[in-house]
Amino acid sequence: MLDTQSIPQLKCIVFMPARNCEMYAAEALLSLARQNHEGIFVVYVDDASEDQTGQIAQHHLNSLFPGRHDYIRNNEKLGKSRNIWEHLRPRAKSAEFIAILDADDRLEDPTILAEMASCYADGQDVVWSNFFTDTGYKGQNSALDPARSPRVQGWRTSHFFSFRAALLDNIPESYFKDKNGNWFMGACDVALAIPILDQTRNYAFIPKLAYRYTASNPFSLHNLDQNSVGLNSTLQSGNAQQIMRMKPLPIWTETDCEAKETENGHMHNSVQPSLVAKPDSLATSAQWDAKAVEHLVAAHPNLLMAQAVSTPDLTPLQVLAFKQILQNTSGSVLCLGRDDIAVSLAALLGEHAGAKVTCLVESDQAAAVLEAKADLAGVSQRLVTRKAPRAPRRMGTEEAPFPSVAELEGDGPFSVVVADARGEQNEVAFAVLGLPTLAEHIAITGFHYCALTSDLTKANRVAEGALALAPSLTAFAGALGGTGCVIFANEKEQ
Amino acid sequence: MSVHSKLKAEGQSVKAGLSATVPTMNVTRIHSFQQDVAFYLPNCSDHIQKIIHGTKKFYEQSMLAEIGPLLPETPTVADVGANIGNHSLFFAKVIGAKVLAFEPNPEAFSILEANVALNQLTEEIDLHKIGVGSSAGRGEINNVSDVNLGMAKVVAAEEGAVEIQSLDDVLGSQHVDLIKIDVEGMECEVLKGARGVLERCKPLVIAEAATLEELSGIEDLLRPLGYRKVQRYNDTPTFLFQYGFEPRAAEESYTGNILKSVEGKMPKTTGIYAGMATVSGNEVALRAAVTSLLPQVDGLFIYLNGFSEVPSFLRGFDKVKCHLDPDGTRYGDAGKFWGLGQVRDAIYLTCDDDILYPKDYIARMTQELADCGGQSVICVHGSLLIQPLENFYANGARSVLHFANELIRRRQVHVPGTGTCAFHSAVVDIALDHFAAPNMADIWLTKFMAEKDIVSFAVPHRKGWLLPLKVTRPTIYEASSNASKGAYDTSAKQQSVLNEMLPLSVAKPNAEPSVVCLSLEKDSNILSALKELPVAARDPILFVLCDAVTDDLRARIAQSSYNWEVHLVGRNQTQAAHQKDLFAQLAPAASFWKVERRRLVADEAVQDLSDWQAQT
Repeated sequence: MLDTQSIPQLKCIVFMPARNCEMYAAEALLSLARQNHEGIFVVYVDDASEDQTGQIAQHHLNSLFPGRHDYIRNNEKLGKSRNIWEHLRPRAKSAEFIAILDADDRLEDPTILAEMASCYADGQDVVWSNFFTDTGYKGQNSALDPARSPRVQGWRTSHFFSFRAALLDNIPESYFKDKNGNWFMGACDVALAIPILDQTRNYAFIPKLAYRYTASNPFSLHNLDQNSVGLNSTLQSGNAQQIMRMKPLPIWTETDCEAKETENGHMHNSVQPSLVAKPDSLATSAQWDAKAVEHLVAAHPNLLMAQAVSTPDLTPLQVLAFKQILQNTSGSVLCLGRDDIAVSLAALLGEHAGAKVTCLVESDQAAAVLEAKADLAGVSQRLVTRKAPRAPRRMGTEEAPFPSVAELEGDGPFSVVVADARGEQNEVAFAVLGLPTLAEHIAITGFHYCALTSDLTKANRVAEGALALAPSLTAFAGALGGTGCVIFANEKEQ
Repeated sequence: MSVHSKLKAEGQSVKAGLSATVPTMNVTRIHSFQQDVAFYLPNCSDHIQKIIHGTKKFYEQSMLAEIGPLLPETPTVADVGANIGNHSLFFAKVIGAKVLAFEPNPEAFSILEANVALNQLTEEIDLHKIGVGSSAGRGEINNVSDVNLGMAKVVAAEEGAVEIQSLDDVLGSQHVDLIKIDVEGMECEVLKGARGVLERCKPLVIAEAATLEELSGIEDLLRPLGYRKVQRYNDTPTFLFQYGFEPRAAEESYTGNILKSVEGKMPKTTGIYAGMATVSGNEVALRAAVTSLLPQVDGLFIYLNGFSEVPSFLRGFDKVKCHLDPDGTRYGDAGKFWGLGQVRDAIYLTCDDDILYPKDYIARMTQELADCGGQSVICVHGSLLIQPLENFYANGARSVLHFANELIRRRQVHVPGTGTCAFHSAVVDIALDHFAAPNMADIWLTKFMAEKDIVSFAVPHRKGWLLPLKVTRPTIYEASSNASKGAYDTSAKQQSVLNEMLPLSVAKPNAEPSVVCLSLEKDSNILSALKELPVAARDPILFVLCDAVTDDLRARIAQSSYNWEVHLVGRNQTQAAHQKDLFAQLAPAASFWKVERRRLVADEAVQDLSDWQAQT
């Protein structure tokens, strides 16, 4: 037990932003009071609540943290980002590290702050744990690879998040604001964490379900937005996308503390992180291609004919990659973008009864041509077409003409989606937009979203865009025979 | 092999007493919360009827299991939008409430009426075939659906067929403890017409709010009256609103607001205090237990066994007063009573260092204490002895109402668990000297209560209301039940003190007890016999005539859900004088039953225990 060990009593500020959470306010503070770390100071910001949050909070703060809290009441709603800037930042110097506890959540592990304190005493700069939700799901936080930019590793540091207090001082005000200069009102956790993570590689992940996230709070952003994907609202996803594209802050050193703060301003779209996925030189070699063809034709006799009638411009290794993905799915496949790939996908489907490829085509004529090709390749039973005229679709800064999904009612949910973006004017926008547009038609678990791009650079940008949109997903650029991007949910902990 | 009830097999007495409207077809019987409830469900495509029929449970049973225990004894409930009567039946049959059920939809009302008759609850449930609104008027029913009767709602219409009244008009000066509202978006209209009763009685309110706009409308009406949301239930969002005790102004205090709500219901009370004893090596759990109580009390007295200094985290709290006992062998767990000698005219709660207390603990315990005039000991954990008692800690010695389990209605107990007790300092003025040996505070308190004729009630509560905290040291229970002979093992001493008090009984001096005498045919059939016994009372007393009082028989009773006061009588065994006396005292009011050829039948009443033993 930690209470019999020597715990470094580093000073810790627990920042608790609160708004209209009277059902949860007492439990949040009680859970914090149970922590066996002694150096806690609470900065509680009641962001203009209209319910009894303020009364409940003040009563519990006075009882449980006498002389060890600041209670601040805003007269108007400011949002978490501005509250961090206005209320937390000026107080940061008084603590060694800072942890963020939303006032509608609670801490489940009474020793987590003490464990974090030990990490800071050992020289770590950012420490976080995993979480679970009151609706029964486990969070997908995990360790970050210190050798890579945190901006290309997805959103893995949500709750319970803490950081060395000195790092907050280095974040310019503009990083808490959107491109129009307004304070972020969603994805504020990302807006804080990413520039904190930029500044160091001394990360520690404590793999404990130490934090209980109240996903059922009816006033949470994801519950107020009908178009939310999981715990992400449209506003949060759009903001996260912007935040991920900001210029990374430089690595922090002790001497930086003395340096005068300078405003860097926004540099949207300037980040070019080096992604890990690169085409292997061997992957394009004739030797590998020959082996792949041999293997594929033996396993899928119809494939050769499918390639012959539809000429989908796929390398043998790309086909092999699709074979692997399709083999592991028992569900249906959706194909969009360039439609000639659909016949080959149908030939790769394997023996799963009922598995078929649904292809979105622009016109009746295109549907007839595709169906004829499928017939010639002997896979007509495995392929259906749906007429899907295109219309411009915008999400955040991305815009592209995208097929209508109205005809998909009754089809799916799809376990595999193949978006062949290679013929699109804006390949990246097309591929990224597919995720939110098709969200309701994609299987909740075990899905693979495959975006085919003409080169790896575009695939990298697709991965980056997808992670900004849905940070809990995993995106693997180059996974389709050295190019393209495969996006899927990391379900190891579920 | 089980025992069949002759009463149920014949079935005549049930049907005879009921009116002709009692349905015989489409009846589904459920057994929930140890109650048999019958539902007339004529339309199984209807949402609620389909769920009851399919699950054999009350609709929204998990919500009811949490709301029910919040109500006082014999409460009054207004069920607005009663539909087919699911909630009304629960409150009347399971909780023992008086219910006013309002349902204007003729189709739902006819089923509601049938369900009330079917369960013989016409006395307990007042039926009102009217709509409830902000004021008197007329209305009509909209949105009628075959697959969901609950979607129908009343909207105002001057020439409408439905009479509408406000709750204030219907209730008059009647006290109400709970208003349940499910009227498909018209909840605000109901609340507008209930302002008087809300201000006067501060009842619990459960209201459905399908959208945030509806929720906002409800909150706008309830918030100025001091209400707040405390819980959300069900797929269709339903919220529990409760009056909040947190101070709204500098001159108010949390405990002061609680005491104000029970003013005049118990002896003069000026504060609420808690006491706790602990031993070293338990700081994580101690911190959790202490902080769970601190916001709810005026002061917390902590007796520190085996400590040479006060733990640092306790020093920062003005409300905490500590007593250091470096030796720690004098009082042990009885140290939780140390603070009682330092308070006057107060509610005092004895608490444990390994329990996490809920945020409404003090408010609920105070309400329960006030309901008995402050004259009893209120507890969450307690036990009823299976007598004659041989070893208090042996398996089968007692039926335990455990604090972590659900208790849907309050129950009288023999031995309250002092980790969960509340009482008034003027009534239980037990001095530390009364605890003549350490680590058996429950037994010393029971002895004190017996001497002073004080009874103890276990408070109804939802499952997990109080939560056990993990500790690394052995508990008193573990040490004593293992008879470890260590410092915590007090089993032998406890038994000797209890022996002086026996028999313990929940029979009240001036009340007609519910006494049942059961003669077994075969001891191993005890549980099926208990299941068939016609016992409706809350606190029954049971004498069981058996072949032999064995450990096996005791264990079967103790581990069952029948947490009754049980006295076992062996046919060929000599009975203690005190047991004979108790039998003689209670037998005149008892009903006698016997198992005969595996059927439960009425038996001949006797007055003398020896005569009963001699019966074949």
